[in-house]
Amino acid sequence: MRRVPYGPVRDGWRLTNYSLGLTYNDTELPDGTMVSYWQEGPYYEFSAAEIEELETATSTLQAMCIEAGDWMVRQCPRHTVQGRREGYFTSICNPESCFLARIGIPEYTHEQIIRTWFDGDADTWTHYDKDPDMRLPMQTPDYSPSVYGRFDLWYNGAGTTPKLLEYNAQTPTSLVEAAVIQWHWMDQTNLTDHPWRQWNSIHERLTGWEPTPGEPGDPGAWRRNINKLREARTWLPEKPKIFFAYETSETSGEDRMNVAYLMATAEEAGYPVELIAMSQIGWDVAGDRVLYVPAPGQEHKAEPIDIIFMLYPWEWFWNEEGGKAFFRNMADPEKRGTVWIEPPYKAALLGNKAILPVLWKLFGDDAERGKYLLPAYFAESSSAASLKSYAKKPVWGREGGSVTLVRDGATVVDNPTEYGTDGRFVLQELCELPSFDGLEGTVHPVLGSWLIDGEPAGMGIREGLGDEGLVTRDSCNFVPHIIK
Amino acid sequence: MTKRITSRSVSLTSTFLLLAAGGVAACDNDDTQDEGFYCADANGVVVDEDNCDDDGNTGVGGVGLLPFFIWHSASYRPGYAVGTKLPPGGSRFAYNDRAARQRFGLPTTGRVTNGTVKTSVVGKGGGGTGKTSGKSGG
Repeated sequence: MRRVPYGPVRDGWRLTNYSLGLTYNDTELPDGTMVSYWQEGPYYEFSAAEIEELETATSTLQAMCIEAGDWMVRQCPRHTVQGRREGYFTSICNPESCFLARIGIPEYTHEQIIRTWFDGDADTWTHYDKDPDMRLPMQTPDYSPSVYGRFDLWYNGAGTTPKLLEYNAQTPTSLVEAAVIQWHWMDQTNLTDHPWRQWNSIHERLTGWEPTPGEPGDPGAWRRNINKLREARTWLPEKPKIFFAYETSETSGEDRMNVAYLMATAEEAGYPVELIAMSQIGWDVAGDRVLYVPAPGQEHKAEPIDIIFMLYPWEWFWNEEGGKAFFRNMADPEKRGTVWIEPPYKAALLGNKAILPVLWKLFGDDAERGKYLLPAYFAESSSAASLKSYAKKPVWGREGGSVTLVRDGATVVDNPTEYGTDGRFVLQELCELPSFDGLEGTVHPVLGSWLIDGEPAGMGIREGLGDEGLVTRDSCNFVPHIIK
Repeated sequence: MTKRITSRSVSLTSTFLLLAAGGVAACDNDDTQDEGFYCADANGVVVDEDNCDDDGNTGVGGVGLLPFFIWHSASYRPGYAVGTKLPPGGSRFAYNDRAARQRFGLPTTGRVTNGTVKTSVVGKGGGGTGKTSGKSGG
């Protein structure tokens, strides 16, 4: 792993990137200065062996996260039929009895978190689990599609071991720059003769590819997921429409283009698609349905939503006005409710920072797999008190918000935001990002390792500058890479 | 799944390229307002929605054959129970005024459920849920 500070600068690179979807390149810093999010010139080189190490780490981490998810759902009384019976009219999940309640997840969501987690497993979550009195015609198990996720890793090249910093399981961004912009940069600059060129099969793992001599074809994440969904919901058409929703109050264009890119890959995979605003998702009280409503007053033009991807955190969604109705709709034992991509378990079990202490508890002593983890504990635990150098992270945070780095008891960096106001934090043993000399000063890379359909799929690197850059936040840059 | 390290090509659909070029995005509801609908009497007191169901011929009924109205306002929130006096400032039209129903995108005949179809129930863009601004991704 080597940082090359003076790489080629393509003529017209800003316009090229913009036309490929990086419309949110210019970032305004708090002092009013504008900086370029994409760094043209510097890049990273990796050896094939280093990429294989990162791939192995990613696969191993994903397998550990699935075991951790299984552990978490078992800590909720609602994971059994008996528990759900007892909890039909009364609250049974509280911080003492339920792990999900302890990390602040509303009780009304727990059953659907568990159901979506077990979907696709014919033996674990059957019709009887959803309809214990068997009042409705027997249904086969449902399926909850998931297409992507991103681990953020610490890594400093050969001789070091990748370490998990966090898992962006539900709403990872920087997808356009990782999948598209750096691929075209690599193709245009042609800096390597290595056949692998770049660790980046994100696009084709989403869209699939045709077979070639010596290599079988692959249907890609969209077709694989929608086909499985159609096996569970046989009334869906062969090419069901997929809605893609983003939050329009995010004005930089980043959310919009990330969602539009995912939508484009689903379109390329052959599905009808539509890009909508979160606020155009409507609730039909009388029909108990989720609708796409073009605008208030145009309810007569509303269209039922069978399948929707949303770039919007479940932890916001389930605290909003529509949350309860949408979760009730999701619970339909006849599987007629709207299918949400990514499912709620992605936020509740995998995508929040509580997974870090759970992983450490389960695998910290595992010599083979635990090496990819850093010791982590809930902030209020006695083990946390023993850490002198740590990163303190809110359980429900994003973009480095409210992360504090403490070295030998002294704060090195903090980043106060509104995250963490619920008082829920984890402490992770401090593992400061590697340092490289750049034109602008010392830079610190964090490696975003992408998963498509649960498989390692590529990497995007973001860099922070100086001590502030030890916490990766939305002002950090994107730097491409090659395999040499 | 087959091992593939690098995409052979990354081609983008015209839909995406049009969006990148500043094309049509999802229309948000910032410039419009949600409208809440309730069946209520002439004084704006919420009544059972059956009273505004013109299919059931019950729209004019009750004590002393009082007429009922569909009241609407952007300030109405869901969940007002029968007997609640609606907040001030609403407008009304006769429960069986088909043209008015159509104008608001309601069914032209039949029942209108109190607090019926609403938009902006999730998300920050149009609903004013009070969330701080920020990225939804990370």
